[in-house]
Amino acid sequence: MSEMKPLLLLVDDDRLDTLITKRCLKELAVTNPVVCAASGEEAIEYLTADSCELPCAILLDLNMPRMGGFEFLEQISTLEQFRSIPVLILTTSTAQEDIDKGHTLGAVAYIVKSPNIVEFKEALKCVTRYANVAHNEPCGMANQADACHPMPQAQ
Amino acid sequence: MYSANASPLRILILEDDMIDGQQIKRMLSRSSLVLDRIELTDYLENGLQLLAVQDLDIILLDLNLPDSNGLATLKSIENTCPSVAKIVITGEGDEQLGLQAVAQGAQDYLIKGGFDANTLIRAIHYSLERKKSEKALRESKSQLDAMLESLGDPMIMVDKALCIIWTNEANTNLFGDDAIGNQCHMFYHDEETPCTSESSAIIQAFQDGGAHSCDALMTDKNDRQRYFHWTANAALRDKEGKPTTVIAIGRDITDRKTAEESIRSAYNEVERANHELKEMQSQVVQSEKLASIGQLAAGVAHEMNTPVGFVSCNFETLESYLKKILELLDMYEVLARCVEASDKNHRLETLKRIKEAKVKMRFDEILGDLQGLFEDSREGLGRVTSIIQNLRDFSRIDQACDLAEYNLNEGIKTTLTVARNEVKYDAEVKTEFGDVPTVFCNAGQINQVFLNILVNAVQAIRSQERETPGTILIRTYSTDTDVVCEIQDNGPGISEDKLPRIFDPFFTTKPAGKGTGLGLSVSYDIIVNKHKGQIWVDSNSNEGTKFTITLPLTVAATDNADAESIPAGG
Repeated sequence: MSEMKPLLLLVDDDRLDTLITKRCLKELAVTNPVVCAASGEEAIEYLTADSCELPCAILLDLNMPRMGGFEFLEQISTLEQFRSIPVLILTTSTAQEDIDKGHTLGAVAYIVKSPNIVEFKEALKCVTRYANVAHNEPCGMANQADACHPMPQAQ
Repeated sequence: MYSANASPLRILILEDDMIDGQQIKRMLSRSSLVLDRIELTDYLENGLQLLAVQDLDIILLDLNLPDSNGLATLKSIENTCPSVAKIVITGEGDEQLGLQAVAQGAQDYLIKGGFDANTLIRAIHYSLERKKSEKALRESKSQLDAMLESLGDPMIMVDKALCIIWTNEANTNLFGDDAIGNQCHMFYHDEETPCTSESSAIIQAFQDGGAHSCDALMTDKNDRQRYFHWTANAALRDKEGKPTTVIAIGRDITDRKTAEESIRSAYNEVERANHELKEMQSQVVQSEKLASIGQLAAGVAHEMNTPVGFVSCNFETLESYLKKILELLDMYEVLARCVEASDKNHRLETLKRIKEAKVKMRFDEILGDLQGLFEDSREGLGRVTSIIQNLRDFSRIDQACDLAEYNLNEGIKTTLTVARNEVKYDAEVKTEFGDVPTVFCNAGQINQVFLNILVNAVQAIRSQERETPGTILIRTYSTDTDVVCEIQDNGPGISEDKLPRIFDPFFTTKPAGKGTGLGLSVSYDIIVNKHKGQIWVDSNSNEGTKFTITLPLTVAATDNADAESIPAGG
């Protein structure tokens, strides 16, 4: 049954963060298979491989060595075949400029990685909206994005 | 003797017996003496009048005159003209009187009727000569007296019994006029017993006949305390050359002493201030340590928050799983009892309930997840452990002694892990580790320096609000004498006017409250003073900053890191 579900691509350099995200998704009953990439380059490499099964959504960390999240976003936005894949930003940064930049670059959600797992799980709930939609189906991203991301308070 | 060019003599003969007087006059006129004039008179009063208006060279004086008698006559003449030579003429058998007259100012005496022209001439010659020497002596004495009196410094002469036998006027003015006859310790210090030979230059001068000096605090007659520098030397000596009299002169050095005293107290003040400053500096260093520990702690707490939260979350999940498993276990327990006691139907019924419960609790998923939960938690705990290990490596809190073998590359690695949280969002760190031998140093302190420089670099890069992360390049290598570490960033650089001040305490370019201004000054102290290494900076505005740190290969570091260090450059 789970094989039927489309892929999620998780781009994060921190192995522990990856584990946490996967576990939270599991607890949110998001049973889609998750493919992990440890950097922007690795993710691009995965997406551009011939045999690639395109993911239904990309969960993207911002702070990564070498190619960071924003650079990755800029790069895939130039590639037509990936433009329709919704990207959800997963980051510890609560800076307003990062949030704005994320939206400018077309991310559908901005999810703050709270060290509090319960909070993080709550924030991660919006992933469920994209988890069961194949990437080429229309999904009214803009509206949903506004609704689902918890806008962090500037500290 | 009188030479031919001596000025002609002016002679007064004071004689009431005119025959005797004329006879003497005749003797003189016939002699070889060159004469200016000879006055002859019979009354003392006439003589004195004459002397008042005329300059004379010698007086031939009969002591017994109608208006004066005996030595009183001589005294009158002596008072009027002490500089004129006097020959007394006494009656026969009055030799005693003649001698007394000589003792009281006459230069010679003649016995009336008992001298011829030759004797007279000779007496005149001698008397003039004697008067001349007397005068010279008196002049030189009065010169000397004037000198001594005009001397502003007090001067005394002391005999063997330490009694003051002479003082000059300055001494009288300063200490009072009752010095003569007093022992010097009594007079000056009001002490019954003499000063010790160590403290008194006078006693030392008596002991070895040499010149000595000493300083003494004295009270003058107005009860003011004055410092004097006394110099004493032998004035008169006995046949064996031992001093019988010592002369001492004192110089008022109160001003100098006061100046010295104020310099000394100023010096003490400076010493004290310096000491306080050092104490303050060590407090400041301590507070900088605390500040960076605080910074570190915040970072570490942040780093640990996620894994600890994750593990405790997993722990809750495990607990709920365990509850379910125990529930099942209970049901199996019931089943086990059924196997022994009840019928088949009952057993099947129980088994069915167990299966239903398993489905309800999604037991297969629980079983499948259990392993993963443990793996995930192990990963989380591993992260916490590694953070703690890095923290320990960084600060070497488990290091027993201050100095230990230290590998520069390892030190930088642990510092980078500790600073990871601070660095990772703003800069990419590249390392080029060379082959470096171990050195002896205090690892905690050296890592502290790396952390300071690293954090500075990151903060500088962050302040640029740039699009792309900055780069920090850390290179290590060794030379014949040192291990070297370069930390280079491509941040904003340090402007030329600030460059000379960056190692100064309290100098900071960070916003108020963000920096103590002590990081680099403490770093300097650690590297240069405590480890005899070097630290310098190369920086160009807009091109970034490079710090270079060297640590000597030979053990030159002081083994006591908390000992007061020599301040760099004074």
